[in-house]
Amino acid sequence: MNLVRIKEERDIVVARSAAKKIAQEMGFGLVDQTRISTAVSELARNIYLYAGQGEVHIEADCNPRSGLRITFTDQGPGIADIKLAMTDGWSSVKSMGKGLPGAARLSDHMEIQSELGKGTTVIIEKWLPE
Amino acid sequence: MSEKGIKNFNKRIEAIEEILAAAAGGDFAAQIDIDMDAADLLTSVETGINLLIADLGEEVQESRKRADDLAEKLELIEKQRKAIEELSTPIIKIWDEVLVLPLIGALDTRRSQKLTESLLTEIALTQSKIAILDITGVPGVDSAVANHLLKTVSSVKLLGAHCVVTGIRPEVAQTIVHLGVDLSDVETLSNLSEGLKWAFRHLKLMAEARKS
Repeated sequence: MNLVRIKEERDIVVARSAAKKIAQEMGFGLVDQTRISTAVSELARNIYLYAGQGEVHIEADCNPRSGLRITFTDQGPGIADIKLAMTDGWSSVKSMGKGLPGAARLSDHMEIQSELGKGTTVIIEKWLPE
Repeated sequence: MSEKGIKNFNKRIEAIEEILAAAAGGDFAAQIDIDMDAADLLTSVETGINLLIADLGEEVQESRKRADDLAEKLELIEKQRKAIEELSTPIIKIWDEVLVLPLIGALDTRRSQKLTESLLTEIALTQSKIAILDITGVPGVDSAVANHLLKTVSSVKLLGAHCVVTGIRPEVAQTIVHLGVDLSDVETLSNLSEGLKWAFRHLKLMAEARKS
């Protein structure tokens, strides 16, 4: 399953397990599998918390390196200040504020595109050790 | 109006219209009466329509049955989910004043809240002093789960009891640190047996303190 729709809290677990399974099949070690599934958990939870619904797309390919690329898309309110959202401990909904910065630390590469009122796309990559 | 070689043309067209209208309304039982002995050009059209409607009727019936089956299965899944929810938060009084909670499966908001609630009730009820939360069976600890754990631990503290979290697997420990979650306020131990030892030591200390 490469596409997981996030509509309710339970779907976060579905996305996380799907990512973990693909990471395992690709040959990632246990620690990396856990990092990937935790990052997916954080970002999928962000979709659920802020946008209500969205999609998680898991690809076993992130050109030019071999690895895993996961895209999180929603049509939610968007992020007003990405720099602030990336600050450890900052949260607009009284959560721990570890979601975005934590996911960034857990992955090898992260991109955020966001437009107010239109939605947010977050892409993370985890590369296989060469 | 009558076409060459077709008997009762208007009447038969009317009959076809009626049958089609009935089918459009969801009734696939009716069929066009065909006089096979007086077959003409329109007969094959009538036969075709009859077959089509019969097929359609079967299809609709099948899909209704499938929808019913699906609804039934969804209901079953929901029931099982509730049953699992009930089963998945056992609280075991393992020793005088010591409770163990072996947590299994994903911890979402609802489950964590339920868990905290039942734990607090049980602590008050059994006058327990120590609660061991074993998370060996929890597949992922993200910041939300960590947050739930922190909240549970601090509410247990408010009741005057101590909480220790056991069963954090090495890969989970590494991930929690990367995530930047600070669990240093929480007493954590590698596994359940360490947790039990800790509990016994703690009880002994408390007993000695009472004596002196």
